[in-house]
Amino acid sequence: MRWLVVLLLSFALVGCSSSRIIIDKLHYKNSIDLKVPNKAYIYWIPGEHNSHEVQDYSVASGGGGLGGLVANLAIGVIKQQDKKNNPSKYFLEYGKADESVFITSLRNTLDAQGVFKTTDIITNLDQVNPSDVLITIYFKNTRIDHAGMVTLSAHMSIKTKNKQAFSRTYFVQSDDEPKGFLHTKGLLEMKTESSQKLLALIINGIKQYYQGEYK
Amino acid sequence: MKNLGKVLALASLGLLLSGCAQKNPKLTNEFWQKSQEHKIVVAKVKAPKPTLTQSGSIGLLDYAINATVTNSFGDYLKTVKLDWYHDELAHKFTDNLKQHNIAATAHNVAVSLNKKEREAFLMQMEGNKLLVVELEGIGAVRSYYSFVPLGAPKAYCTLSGELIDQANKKVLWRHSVRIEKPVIGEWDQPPSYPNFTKALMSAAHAAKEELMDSFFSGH
Repeated sequence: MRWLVVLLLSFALVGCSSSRIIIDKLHYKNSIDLKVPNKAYIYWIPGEHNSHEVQDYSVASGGGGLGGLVANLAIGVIKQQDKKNNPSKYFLEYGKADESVFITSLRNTLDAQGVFKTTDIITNLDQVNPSDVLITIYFKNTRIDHAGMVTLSAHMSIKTKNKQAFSRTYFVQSDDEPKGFLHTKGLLEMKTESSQKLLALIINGIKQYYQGEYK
Repeated sequence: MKNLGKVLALASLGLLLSGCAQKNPKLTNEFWQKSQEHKIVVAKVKAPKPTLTQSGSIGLLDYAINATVTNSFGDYLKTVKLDWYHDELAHKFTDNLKQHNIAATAHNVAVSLNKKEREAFLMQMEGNKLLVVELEGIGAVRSYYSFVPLGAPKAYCTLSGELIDQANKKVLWRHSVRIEKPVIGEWDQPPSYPNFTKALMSAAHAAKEELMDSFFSGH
C-alpha cells in the first residue's frame, strides 16, 4: 500500500512541473534611430528544439528486493505511458510557442518605433516584392540543459533590392550567474533573459545592415 | 547568535564554492576587429570510444548484467565512426576562420593534452593562439532500475572548445555542449542499429553546430 501512495504522490508532483511555461511578450527599451521607407516582412522558420527531460527520482518504498523491484517496474511502465500521452509534463523546452512570442515581440518593436513603413509577419514568400525588406529568422536550435540554462541559436538574413544580402547567426545563453544572494532563477526567468538578449542582437543586426542610412 | 554564526559560515562557503565554478568567456568585439593579427592553430584532442552509460539505481552486479545483456549493442557502439570529428571538425573551424580573414591552420594529429602538455604545445606551435576542440563523450545513455531498463537508450554527444592566447595563456573563449537525442522508432535493430545511428549523428551534428555558433556568433 505504501508504494501505491508514493506512486500517486510522484505523479502529483510531476504534474506540478513547470514544463508548459511560455515567455511573456518582450520589450525593447532603447530607441532605434532608423527609418526605412519600405515595407518589411518577417519570415519565421521554426527549427530544432532540444528538450530536457525532467528527472523524477522518486522510488517506491516497497522495501528492497523483489517487492521494491516490482513496485518500481510498475512505476516505470506507468510513467512511460504517461510520457507518451503528456510529453509536456516531462520535457522542458523553448518551443514553437516561445518562438512565436519572440517573433511577435520583434514585429511589435519594429512597428512601434516606425523602423519600416509597415512590418508584418508572413508564412509564405509570395506577397514579398523585390523593393520590400525581407527579414528571415530561422531558429536553428533551442536547448534547455539539466541546470535549466536556456540556449538559443538563430540565423537572420535580410534581403532587399539594390543592397547586398546580410546574414548572421546569433548565439545566446541565459546568464549562469545567480542574480543575488540565495536567488535562484526559474525557467521563465531564464527563457525571458535569453530571449531579451537575442532580441537585442537581432535589432543590432538590422541597425548594422542599414548603418549610416535612413536616420 | 549561534545560528547567525552557522549561517555566515555556510554563506561564506557558498560564495567560495561559486567562485570556483569555471566561467565560459565569450569572444569580444576587439577580437574580431583585430582579425588580421591572429594566427590560430586548430587542434583536436584524442576522442574516447563510444560507450553505453548506465544511470539510475544500479549496483555493481547490475552493471555487469546489463553490459552482458546489451552485448551486441556495446559491440556496435565500438564500431561507430567518428570521421566528422577526426577529419572534418577542425577543418570546418579553419575554413570559417579564413572566411573571417583570420589566418588558421588545422593540426592534423589528435593530441592528448593535460594541462602541462597543453602549455608545452601552446609554446612550440607556430600560431599565436590555440583553438582546442574536444569530444568529451559520445554514445548512448540509458536509465535502469537494477537490471531492468526504464526506457530505450538515448544518443548523446558532449563537445567542448577553448581558444587560448599564447602570449598570456588567457582563455579567450570556452564553450561546452551536451546534446541528447531520443531514438525515433524502434531502437533495438542489431547488428547496425540504423535508427540509433541516425539519433547519434543528429546529436553530433547539433553539438558541432552549437560549438561553431557559440564561436562565430554575430560575425
